[in-house]
Amino acid sequence: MRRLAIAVLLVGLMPAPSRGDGSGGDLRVRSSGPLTVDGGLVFALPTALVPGLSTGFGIGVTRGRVLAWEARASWSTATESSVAWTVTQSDLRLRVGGVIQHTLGRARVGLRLGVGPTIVHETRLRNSSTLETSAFSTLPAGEVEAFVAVHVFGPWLFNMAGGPSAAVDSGNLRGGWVSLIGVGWQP
Amino acid sequence: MRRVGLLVLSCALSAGCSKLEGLGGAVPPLVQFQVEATGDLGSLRPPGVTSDVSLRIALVWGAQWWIEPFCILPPESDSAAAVIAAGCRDPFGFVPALVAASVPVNIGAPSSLPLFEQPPTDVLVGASTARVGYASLVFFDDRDGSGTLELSTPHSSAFGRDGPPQQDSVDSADVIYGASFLTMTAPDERVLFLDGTFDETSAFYPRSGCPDPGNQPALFTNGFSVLGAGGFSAAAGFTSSIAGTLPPEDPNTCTGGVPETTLVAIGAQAPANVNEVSCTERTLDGTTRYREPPADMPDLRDRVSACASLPSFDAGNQPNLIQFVVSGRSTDHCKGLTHYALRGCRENVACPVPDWDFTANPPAWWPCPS
Repeated sequence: MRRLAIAVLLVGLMPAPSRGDGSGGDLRVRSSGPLTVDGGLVFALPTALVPGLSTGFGIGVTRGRVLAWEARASWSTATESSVAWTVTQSDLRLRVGGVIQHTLGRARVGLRLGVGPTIVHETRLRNSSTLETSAFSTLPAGEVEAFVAVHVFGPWLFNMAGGPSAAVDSGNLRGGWVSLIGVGWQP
Repeated sequence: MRRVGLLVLSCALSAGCSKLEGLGGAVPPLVQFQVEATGDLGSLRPPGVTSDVSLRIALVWGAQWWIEPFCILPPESDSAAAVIAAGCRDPFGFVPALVAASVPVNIGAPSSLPLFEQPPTDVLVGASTARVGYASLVFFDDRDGSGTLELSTPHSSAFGRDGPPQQDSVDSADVIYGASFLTMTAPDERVLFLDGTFDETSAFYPRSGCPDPGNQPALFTNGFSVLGAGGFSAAAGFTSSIAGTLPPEDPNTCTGGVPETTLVAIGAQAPANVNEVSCTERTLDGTTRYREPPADMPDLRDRVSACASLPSFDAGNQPNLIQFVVSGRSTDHCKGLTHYALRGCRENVACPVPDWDFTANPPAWWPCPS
């Protein structure tokens, strides 16, 4: 899997003419517009639940060239247990931010900074009982992600992104990470 | 859905709605029992005890226990009857397995006893779809200040070299003053934990004739309930055992209630009458462990002893073998017996290749016919 990812990355970074397929066909990069829409699977450290892996999906819209702005939303959930509790937390991340990016062959690489609220919904079940509680909380949060978007064919891209995140919970700064793997569409 | 959306939106626009606890925070108990100790301890304290250290009530899960045959078969002599009286516990008594929780109490004042965990599976009896556990609420003076009830085990008298060394334990210093469930032959109030359906044919501290608690979900909090029964006579218990049935309870004496609203009152009694509720047993399956006689005479002071035949199902192909049975001391916290045989194995006195055989040359002190 790791080898495949490296191969995809190298293919993407290679300039198209040097690959000898300058004739294009289905693999020709046909998009160069300022708008990109992407979406995919999200893997992250839960925002307010210390252990675990939060999984879900996310979508984003980016507009611009080297410097761009973006709006992004993702939802993920994680369930963890202790002796007393089974806790499920769902994180809804709403972000706006800026992007700095550069084109390398078939790929775009860059950094994006997003800030905004993370709305956490928590349900706690007292193990061996019927007692269940739930709570909502909104935490100011943000993340810096490095990303690679490789043109696969036509307007379609293969996206990978990831980086550190932070949220403020009850006055305490919580560190974490967030990642996304998915597809993009650049008309 | 629309309400959830509005809530999400309002949360998003505000600086948080409620505190997230995650896996932390205070853990509420699964159930809280209401208990009260009653009575005057002044005349009940054992000799040498003039005041109480820390009165508490403990929740003690019961074990499934079968009494050894010597204790329930008709005694063959007066001396054997004396050994049974001195060394055998009540065959219908509650046998503890595990102390789960305890709280300090004041006499005459109700207290809440919280329980934070379900009983472990080793104190539950029944199939996986119909498991039940019973507990007794034990009133005691925590004289060692440990904050819990320490259980005691019977002490055997000295024996020979057979088998692995047996760890003897020190009797608990805690003084027992009462319990909500002492024996099946007296009225009791017991804690029930039910996982699945209730098996009315189960012989585990049976309460045949009482309504099936499994059909009364209103009696339960997270699987726990408090049940009461009037008890049955020992004669009814033996008769039913021989017939392979369960001794019936008087349905009019059967009670049941939710733990949070059912006050369990525990009357104080003389410790000598209730000590056994804190006595565990080394063997729970009713088998008898026969011991190799030591070379020197065991210390028989303050013990009652007798020579007796082996129960026929133990003796196997050696029906003429006579055992020497010794009770514990009167000062021991728990009643118990030590069985000596001139020939046998630790697990099986009728084993074909004995671990010891002194039938031809018994120890000099051996008091029984060889």
